[in-house]
Amino acid sequence: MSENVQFPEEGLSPATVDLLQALFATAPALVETGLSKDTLVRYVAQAATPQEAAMVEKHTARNEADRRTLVDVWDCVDELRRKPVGDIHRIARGEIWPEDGFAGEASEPHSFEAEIARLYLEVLATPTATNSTGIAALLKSGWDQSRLALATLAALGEARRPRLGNPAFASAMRSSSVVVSMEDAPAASGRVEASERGVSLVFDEPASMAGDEIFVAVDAPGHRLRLTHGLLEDGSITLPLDRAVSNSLRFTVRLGDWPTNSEGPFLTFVGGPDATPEDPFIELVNPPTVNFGKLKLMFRWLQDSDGQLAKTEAGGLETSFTTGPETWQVLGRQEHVPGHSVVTIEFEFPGEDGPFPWPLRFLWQSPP
Amino acid sequence: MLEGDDAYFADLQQFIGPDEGQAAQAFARLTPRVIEVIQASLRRQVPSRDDLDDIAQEACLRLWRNRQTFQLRGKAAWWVFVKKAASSCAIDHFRKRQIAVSLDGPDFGEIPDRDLRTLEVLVEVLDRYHQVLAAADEIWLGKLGADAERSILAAKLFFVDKKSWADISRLLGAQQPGRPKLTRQQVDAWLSDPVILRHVAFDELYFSNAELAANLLGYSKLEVSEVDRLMDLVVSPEGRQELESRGETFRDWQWAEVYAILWRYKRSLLLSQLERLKAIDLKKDELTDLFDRCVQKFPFVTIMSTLQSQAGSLPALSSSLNRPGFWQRLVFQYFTKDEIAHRDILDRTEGAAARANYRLTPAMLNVWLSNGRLFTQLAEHFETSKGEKADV
Repeated sequence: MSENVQFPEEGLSPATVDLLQALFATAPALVETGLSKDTLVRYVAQAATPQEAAMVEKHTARNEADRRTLVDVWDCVDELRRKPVGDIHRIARGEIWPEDGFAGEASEPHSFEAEIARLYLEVLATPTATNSTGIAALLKSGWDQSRLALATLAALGEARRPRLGNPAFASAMRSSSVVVSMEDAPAASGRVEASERGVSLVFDEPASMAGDEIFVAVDAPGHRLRLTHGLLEDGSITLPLDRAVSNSLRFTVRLGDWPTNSEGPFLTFVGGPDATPEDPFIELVNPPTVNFGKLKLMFRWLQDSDGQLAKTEAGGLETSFTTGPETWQVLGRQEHVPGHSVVTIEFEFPGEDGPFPWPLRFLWQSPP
Repeated sequence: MLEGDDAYFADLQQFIGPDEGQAAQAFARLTPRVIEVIQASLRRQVPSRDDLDDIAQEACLRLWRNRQTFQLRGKAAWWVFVKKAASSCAIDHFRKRQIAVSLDGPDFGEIPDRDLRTLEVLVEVLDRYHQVLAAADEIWLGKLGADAERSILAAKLFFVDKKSWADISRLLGAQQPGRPKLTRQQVDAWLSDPVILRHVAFDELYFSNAELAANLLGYSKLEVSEVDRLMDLVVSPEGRQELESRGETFRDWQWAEVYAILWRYKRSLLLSQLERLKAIDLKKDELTDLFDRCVQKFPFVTIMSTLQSQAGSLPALSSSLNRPGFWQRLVFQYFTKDEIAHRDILDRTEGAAARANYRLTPAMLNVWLSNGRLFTQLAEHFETSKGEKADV
């Protein structure tokens, strides 16, 4: 403390306190927002639902001016999500307006929307020619399906339904570009290659991930869902998939610490041979060694129309599980919802082993 | 201490200078804040808005007439001069109405020279109000580390919204230039950092007057503009008529109760002042009963319970909130920003404090506020940091 400072030890006089209170109460209020727009766009773009975005809004708005800024950003991102990627680029360049798609007056530049569009493109992915189709598909997928759509984008040959091992399929894979969802990056571009050893994911920008351990969930509808992991070498990871596994694949990739127990292998989910939307049967092989209290089964139906996935209903049930030394079996039954062709089962293990709740979530999706 | 390019100080110099034209222009620039401060300092003693305007007007005239007697020895001296003018005008106002006033009380007492140092430091800094708030946070909540905004948001998503680590990581872990990857270890460290926890708890537990009124009327913190709109209507008979034409009640409240809540909590009028308002058609015991019910509905204890419940067995939250600093910050905010009485501050804090195993008493508030301890701590903080800079 500076030597010159001498404040009264016996306290300030009541009149002084009164004046200070008046001065503090009339001090000019802050109107600046606590978050920069680019940070905000990144958060909002990651929100899986409007409710999640509202949480960010609730915690970051410090006053009415903040709230208006947040709502403006939110509305703008919401609008952008519905646009083809080409339009977003044009909005970012100030050539068209987001709300109507028509060219704006030169005297009324939509600098705010252009800035948000530029940030949004930055958030989503590096806009290259190879993955722009993927981004467009993502944008069409709507609010709460963006992440699922990211994974779905990696479903190769979905329309052609080629067979793994089939030369046509391998060829299709080599020529396909993909966008895979990643935990620590909103999107990464790359391609998939098939070989005798299995399937390889090859990333476009391996430098930032070289040597990192990555985790891949492979969804092969109708057969099995497998989580695997490995070190990224030379920008790719090879997944030891059985040739007979699939006629279409879905990948979800996480970079780094996928929450799991540190000892054993990952969970392997095996869809029962007779699993149907009406009678899903899931067997878990090689369960984690940590002591989970219960297993929660969540059922969600996803309607596949016009190539888009849209959540229509959500239901859930909790069930206890039986466990043996090596295998846990879970049997859940849920009524079929007419008109819905796909059932997604979400496993949630409420973690009770650490200082923080640590749920594990995995998705299993039935064949359409 | 005072910088030559300080526009405010320059206005004060012109105000007492020989050029009457320049002095008048400078005074015109000074007047808006002067009126605000006069009204804020007399609001408790002069409930009538018209009387308050008259006194402020008269005080401004006196400041202008007596400007040659003012000696510019710092900005604090200016505000002491303003307060003196306001006090004498208020005393004259009361005497005209034959109301006795005490000249020794806080309202009209003299400011002793020994307090000028504290005043000078704070008045100097108040022009940069965000620095005052940052200092208040630093002194009583603790200094936040790097990535402050993201760490607090992460903690709020966890403690308030019960988001899992995976969701927090997804929402806040988006690749950003120059920012490190968001790992589980990082989130864990944030969630057990006492400084971050105190900031989160402060943001959650602090409700401005308008936010508290909004809460009682069933709105969220972000919907205070709705309360503003209601208040605009409540102040006029036509507005009240329009409101009452919408229905017999408003949510769970009678319209008379809504008016009382708005005046009591949004405008922070005391019960004795409310009794004199013609628009409030409730008797004293009805008002007392209403405000007792409102206190029961205050959200603070519930919020504290929610935070504690989500914290589970984590010791960090409870050990962060069972010390004076956190409560001093909260009390300081209510006192300086919302200008509410000690009893009202206690109503908004003691329940939550008890839930956090901390005991707040009227005597503590007296020492912290009436005795000026919190102000002195703040001024000491600025002097210390200035001294440290000089040492460097």
